[in-house]
Order: sequence, then structure tokens, then C-alpha cells
Amino acid sequence: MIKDYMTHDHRECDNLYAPLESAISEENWDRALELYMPFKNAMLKHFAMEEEVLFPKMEEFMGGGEGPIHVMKMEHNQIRSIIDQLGEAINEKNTQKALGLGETFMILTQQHNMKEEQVLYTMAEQLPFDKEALLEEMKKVEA
Amino acid sequence: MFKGLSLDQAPPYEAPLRFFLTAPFFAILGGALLFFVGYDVSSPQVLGLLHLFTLGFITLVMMGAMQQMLPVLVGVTFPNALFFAKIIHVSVIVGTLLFGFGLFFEQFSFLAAALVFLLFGVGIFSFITLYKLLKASHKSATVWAMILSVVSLIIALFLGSHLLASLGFGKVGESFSFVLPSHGIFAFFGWVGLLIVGVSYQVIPMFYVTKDFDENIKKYLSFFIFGSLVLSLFFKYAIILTVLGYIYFGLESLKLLESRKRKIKEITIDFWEMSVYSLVLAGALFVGDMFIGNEVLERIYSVLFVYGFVISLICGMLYKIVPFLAWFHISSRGFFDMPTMKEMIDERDLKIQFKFHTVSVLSLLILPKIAGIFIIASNIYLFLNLYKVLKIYTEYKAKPSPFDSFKKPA
Ligand SMILES: [Fe+2]
Ligand SMILES: [Fe+2]
Repeated sequence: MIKDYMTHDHRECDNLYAPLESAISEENWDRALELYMPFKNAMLKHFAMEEEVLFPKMEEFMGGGEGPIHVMKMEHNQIRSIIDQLGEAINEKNTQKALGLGETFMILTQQHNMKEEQVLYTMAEQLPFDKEALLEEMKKVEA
Repeated sequence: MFKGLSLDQAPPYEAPLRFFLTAPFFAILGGALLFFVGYDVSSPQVLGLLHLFTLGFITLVMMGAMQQMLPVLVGVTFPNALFFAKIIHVSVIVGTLLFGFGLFFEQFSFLAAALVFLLFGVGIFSFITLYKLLKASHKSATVWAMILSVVSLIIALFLGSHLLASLGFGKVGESFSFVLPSHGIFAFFGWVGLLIVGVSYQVIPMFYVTKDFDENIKKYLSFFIFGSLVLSLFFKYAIILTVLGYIYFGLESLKLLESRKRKIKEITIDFWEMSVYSLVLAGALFVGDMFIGNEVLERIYSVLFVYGFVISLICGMLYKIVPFLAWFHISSRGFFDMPTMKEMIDERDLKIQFKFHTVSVLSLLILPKIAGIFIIASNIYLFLNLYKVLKIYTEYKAKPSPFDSFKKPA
């Protein structure tokens, strides 16, 4: 259920990104600015759900260190930094830069999500803790 | 239980890249032989020429791509990724060159050596990959398609070895004409086709933000294809089911692409569309030919399958994967100022290559000799486009990582 919920949330974020990219390619900067914040907030909220609730819980069982969770957090940082750069490019109305960053953001995020969906969330489902309670806790997180 | 599971161990950039960057040279070589030498349709020359494309181009790229994808998809890595990549790469290259030249110039003594190199390179690759895939704790539709694909590769390898040995030792017996089509079918509709199917489940939704492929397709299609392939060994017409499976897959992927949420029109979409149109057309001609048996039809659908369907798709995907990997490896060393993916290759250069590629496919259908020129041009362009990315990567690789300045203050 964590897996379904989070996988669905990944798609929701993609759906917020797609119209933003269209606005950029049409150089409709007002619209792009309008779409950027909800997109960014949804991404940050998703990362927060993982970093503040899901990952710490998983680490109780699997230990921390250099394992998969550590890698996921590093990738979050990488993605956050691109989202910020994308915001700057939109402010500068730099179409090529924004589209290039958008493309990079997209592939980076997709391969990150893929690893979570195929491996990490599957692991979470197998660990012995109350998933329903944890999911409730995750939903309460603020970005 | 979770020990040994590593998510980040993408192989070093150089591992898949050496496969991607050598592939165009085999196509250039093939193009040159087509144009400067020409071939005799009824001789084994055609087989030599064909394998420069199927082994030298397609299989090399696919091997590189698999090494790249397995860690991400399955969470397992190849032991000693770079070393593993190097030995496979070198043996497949040497084997393919010996094979291609041996058949093309009728130097049958080369074929025994080709056999050794190919059995070694493809053999090691396929058995290790299969082992890794079978060990995956969670087998997604993509993993299953890859398993069936690699099993087909092993079957094709053994059948192919038998053929190569009979040619090499001059003992072409009765079995030859039965084994030959079976080898082709498992190599193409098994190894190449199923890998494309499995990878598409991931990359179409991922690169273009589309819906997922239908659950039932993901669950059953690759088994249906593989099952009908096996069946076709005993009952020839079962191959029609295989081809219908691919046509269905092609139409579904087109439907997904058309409903994509990323409306931006980029050149890789053109490559995809061209690929799917070729697949559907080739499939229809193939089925028709089962009942007619016409040589011209056979040449047309073969070109459409190999060059139109597979090579178009590979070009499109390389333009996504190669810049992304370069960006990824540079950025994970802490750089922020590198060019974005779109800035690494100029869109105009991509368009030029797409045009050369399109003309290559069309002229292959009509005038293979002239097609040679376009194949050469298209693949030189492909190489140069990819090489630009590699150059950016090596420039950054030579610079000290910004992380280092945090670690040891000067
Ligand atoms: Fe994440
Ligand atoms: Fe996530």
C-alpha cells in the first residue's frame, strides 16, 4: 500500500511537470511561473515524506550507512538542485537552458523513481512495521 | 537479507559507452561493402553483411544498454563492470569482424576463429546476465522480458555456432536449411525484439511521461511471443502469432506516444515513429509472404525489420541515454556548471542525422548500392554526435572534483 501510494504520487508529480514543460517550450513565461511552484512543492513534499518518515523507519530495520537509502537521499539532493536551477532559468526566460534542465530533471527523476518502485518500496512492504500507520504519518508531512 | 543490494552502482560511463561508440563503425563498414563491393544475393556474402549490422551494431548496443540497465532495474551489478565490459566488447568485435569478412570475402578459414570469439564473448555475457536476472528478488515485466530475451540469445548463439561451424568446415548438410531460419527467428524476434519490448515498458512512460502499458500486455505479451517462437520450431505458421504480437505491441506503443503528456516534439519521437511504422509494415509483409513466398517481399521486410524498426529505435534511444549518462556521471562528481543534455548535442545535428537515416532506409528498399553511401553518412553523423558528448565528459573528467576542495583545504 505504501508502494501503491508512493508510485501514484510519482505519477502525480510527472503530471505537474508535463504542462510546465509545454509552457516553457511555447515561451509562455507567465504560465510557466504559475505552474512552477505547485510542481516544486509537490516534489519537495514527496521527498519530505520519504526522508522524514519512510526512510528513517526503514533504517531502523536495515541500518543506515552507505546503503540504498543513502543513495536515494543523494539523488534527492541532485534533483532538488536541478529544480532550483530550472526555476532560475524560467526567471531568466532562457528557453534552451530551461528545456535542457527539464530534460535532465525528467530522466534523473524517472530513474530514481524506478529504483524506488522496483526495489525500495518493495523492501518497505516486506519489513515488519505497521504500514497503515506509517502511511498516515507520511501524509501529514509538510513540504 | 538486504545486504549486497546496491542501488547506485551504475557501471562507469566508459563501460556502456565503448559499446555505443563502436557500433556505428560496423554500420559504416557494412555501408562501404555495399557501395564499393556489392554482393551476390544467393551467396553467404549476404549473411556476412547482415551480421555486421545485427551483431556489430545491434547486439553491441544492446549489450551495452543491458549493462547499464540491470543495476537500475534489478538492483544488481556486474562483477568488475569495466573489466567485464572490456573482454566482452573486444571478443564480440573481433568475432564479428572475422565473421563478416570471412563470409563476405569467402575466407572460410576465418570462420572457426570467429566462432571461438563469439562463443566466448556472447556466451559469457548471456550466461552471467541470465544468472543475474534470475536472481532478481522482484521480477517485473521488464525483467521477465529480458530473461526470455537472453534465453533466446543463448538459443540463437548455439544454433548460429552450428551454422558457422558447418560453413567454416565446409560441411553444409541438410540441417543447415532448417537451422538457419530458426537461428534468425530466435536472434531477431527473441533476443532483439523481446529486449526492445521489455525496455519499452520502462522507457516510453519514463522518457515521454505517458501512461503505462496495459497490465495485461506487460504480463503476457513477452511469454506469448516467446511461446509462439518455440512453437514455430514444430509448426512453421506459429511465427505468424509472434509477428502479430509485435504488430500489436507497435500499435500500442504508438498509441501511448501519441497520448503523451510531454507535448514537446523532439527528434527522438521521430525515430520512435519511424521505428514503429517500419515494424508494422514489415510485420504485415512478413505475414503476407508466408503464403506467397516472394523474394522481393523478403528483402523489403528484412530491411524494414532490421534497419527500419531496430536501428531507428536504437538511434533515438542513444540520443537520450548517452547525454544523460554523461550528465549524470559529471554531476555526481559535484559539478554544477556543465552543459545540460540538450546543450550537449545540437538539435540541428540530430535532424541531419535523422534525414540521412531516413534516406538510408528508403534507399535500402530500392537501391542497396546507393544506400551504402547514406548508411555511411548517417553513421558518421551518429558517431560524431555521440562523440561530442564523450568529449564533454572527458573534459570534466580531467578536472578535479569540486568535492575534493571540501575534503582537503589547500
Ligand atoms: Fe525518492
Ligand atoms: Fe519517491
